[in-house]
Amino acid sequence: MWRLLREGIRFYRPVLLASWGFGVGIFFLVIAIIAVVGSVHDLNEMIRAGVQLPTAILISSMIAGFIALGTEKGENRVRLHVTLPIPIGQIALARILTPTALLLLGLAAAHVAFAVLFAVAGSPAVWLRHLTLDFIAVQLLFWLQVALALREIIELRHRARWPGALGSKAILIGVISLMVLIQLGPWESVTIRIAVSAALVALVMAFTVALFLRCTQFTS
Amino acid sequence: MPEEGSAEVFGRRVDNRSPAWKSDIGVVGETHGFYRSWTAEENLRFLSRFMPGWSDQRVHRLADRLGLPLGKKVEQLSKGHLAKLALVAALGHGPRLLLLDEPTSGLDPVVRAEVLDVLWEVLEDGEHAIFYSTHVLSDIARLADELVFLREGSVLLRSSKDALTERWARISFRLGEADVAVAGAVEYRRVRAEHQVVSHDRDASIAHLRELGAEAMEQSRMTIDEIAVAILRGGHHVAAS
Repeated sequence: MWRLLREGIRFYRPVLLASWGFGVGIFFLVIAIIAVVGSVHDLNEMIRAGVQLPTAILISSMIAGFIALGTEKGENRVRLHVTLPIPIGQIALARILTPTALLLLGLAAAHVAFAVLFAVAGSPAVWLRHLTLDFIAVQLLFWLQVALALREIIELRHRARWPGALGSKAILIGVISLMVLIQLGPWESVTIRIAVSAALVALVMAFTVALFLRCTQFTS
Repeated sequence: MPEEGSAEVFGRRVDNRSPAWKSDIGVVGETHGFYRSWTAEENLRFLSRFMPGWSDQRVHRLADRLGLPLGKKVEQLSKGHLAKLALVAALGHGPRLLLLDEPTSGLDPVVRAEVLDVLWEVLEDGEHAIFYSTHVLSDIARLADELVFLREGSVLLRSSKDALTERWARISFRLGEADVAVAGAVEYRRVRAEHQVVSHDRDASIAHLRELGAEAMEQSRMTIDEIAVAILRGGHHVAAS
């Protein structure tokens, strides 16, 4: 599985780097426009706006993840992977972990950017946002995994009739509702929110793997 | 279509949880799943990391033989080159069994001939088997020993190619201006006193026609294509006989 995952990351590395490039580029463009036509003129305000840079890196990593999902589907990658002498469970895990790895690489890069900005700004308020960044990352990862699970449900609907896929849909809707509750709920502790969100992500991943393992046709 | 059951490949149970049996198999289908922004060479290198018994020497020899540009990105390869890459990829680890599903679909005659030549060479040593699924029967006329005709997932007929071409024949004869039922006939046509049958049992048909007093009998061998059409039209009637 690890070899498959490593190869997947190697294949999508240029996509990830290009996404970061676009994300950071667009971010600086926006800052520059704000500086020229907006009200952010002094350096401190610019830096304060600059702390949003890691978020741009995270979002662009998620976009890279979605590109990976689309490419894997479009290029019918499973068709190639199932011919390899690798247990089907490992192929299923590699499928969900490849976009996850891209997002986690983005999270690492975002933390580095945060640390650099912290060193530049020297503001304690910035340091507190590391956990917020983790929270955003886990939210983005959740939606990435939901997209993958949704695809498996659509595949399931091709094989089973509407009622056959009803249970799977109900599970996914239930998990999404829980995530909305976490996002809008009254809990103040970011750590708890991250932990519960991460548990939901793990649940969606396990669900996707289970659906994939039930699949018997990999030709379309 | 059946979605359950069990199978064995070279004595090993087909099980996706323990897939060592896949090492003995090479697969070529209409769809490939290659990494399109990698070159053909990179895709083959990817496969080499997973396939025990992979031989770069074999791969390069085959690629040279087929004129496959290994340095080109897969997205830039023509359909013919893509089919060649799929074949090279399937043969890279020296599988004992090749599973081919319409591997020459949409290819021009020259590329098709090249691919079939390679497959013929694979079969020559007698240690490899090819399971070839196709609608283009001229492809397998040269390669096949055993033919299985399927319709809607069910086996209509299974026979050796030699037995088929030996037993099936088109027979024309002259015999009165009325329809006749001929033993072994799958298809029957008549224009006035000129009759023609397609028989799946030539000897039985000729013996029967002699009994009926048919005149000017002429028989001709049928190609695999013609036999296939007759079988698929005749359906279960032929399979049952």
